[in-house]
Amino acid sequence: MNREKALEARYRQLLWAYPKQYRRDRRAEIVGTLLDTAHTDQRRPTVREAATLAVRGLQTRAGTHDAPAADRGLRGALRLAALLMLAYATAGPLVDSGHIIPRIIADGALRYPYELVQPLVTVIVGCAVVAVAAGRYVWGLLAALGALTFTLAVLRFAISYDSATHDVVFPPFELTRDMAAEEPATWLLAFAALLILLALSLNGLDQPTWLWTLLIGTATLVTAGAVGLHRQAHI
Amino acid sequence: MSRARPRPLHGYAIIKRAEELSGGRVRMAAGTLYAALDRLNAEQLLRVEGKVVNGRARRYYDLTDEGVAALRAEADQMLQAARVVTERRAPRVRAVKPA
Repeated sequence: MNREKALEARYRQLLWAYPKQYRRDRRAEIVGTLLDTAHTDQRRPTVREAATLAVRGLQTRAGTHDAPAADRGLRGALRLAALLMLAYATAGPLVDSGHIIPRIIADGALRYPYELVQPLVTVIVGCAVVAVAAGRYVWGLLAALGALTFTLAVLRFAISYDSATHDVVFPPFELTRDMAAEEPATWLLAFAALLILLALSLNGLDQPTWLWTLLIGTATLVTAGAVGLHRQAHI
Repeated sequence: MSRARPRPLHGYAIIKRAEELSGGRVRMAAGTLYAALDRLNAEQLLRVEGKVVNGRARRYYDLTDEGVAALRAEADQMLQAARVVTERRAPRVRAVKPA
């Protein structure tokens, strides 16, 4: 009996990869079937069981588990393209963070206040990669938009700060716009956000989630823009 | 599920039935089975009925009319593909004399 209870607990843990609602609806049924198929002396899940549950759980999160083959292919392709773009967008800030963080640790202080924005971008894009890989497209979209906002902020502040005088002098908007257009990360993040939106629309989001996503996304961009303009007006 | 209009089965019974019918060659993992059932259900090829048996939650899966038609169409297609191989005449083998 103890063996079966322990095995049941382990099977329950393995369902972590499935979305919460799916677990709530189907946990008893799936765990029941797993217990029925287990050998009489089995004490822990087999590697095959664990691997299958992890993969199928992630597919369920991505909303591709019950899609027809053609639809599943399209959703999978969208997800992979978004992941590749986000992973590529992580590369630039990661390299910059690799220079900035050791220097901050060695100096024990920041050279200028905006120095930590680039490592922050790395963390946010990393979160977007994890979210999209786990099929959490709403979080992935918000993280991609957040990273895009901070990337634009990095561009604006990097060319505004005079490290000799510690003054912040904002250049004309056109200069920031031209630099943003030449920065690969801005395009990658914008296209990744677009692909995540397409994946979300294929998954058939309910209206409140759509509204919240649009509201938070717009609020993030507007707040960032307002902060930038406000600071520019004060200098 | 591959026989004409079987009775409704729960997940474990489907795994066992697939194993029996395939002579032990097919042993479906539970995760794979439920993903396939969800897909068939989304395509309305299955109907699902929930029951509690011996205190355990069970869902019984049965093919809809569309499911039976899709199954027969798939089986016919596989049969035709198999015929291409089995009914093809074996190529003649000609002995070659050594020079």
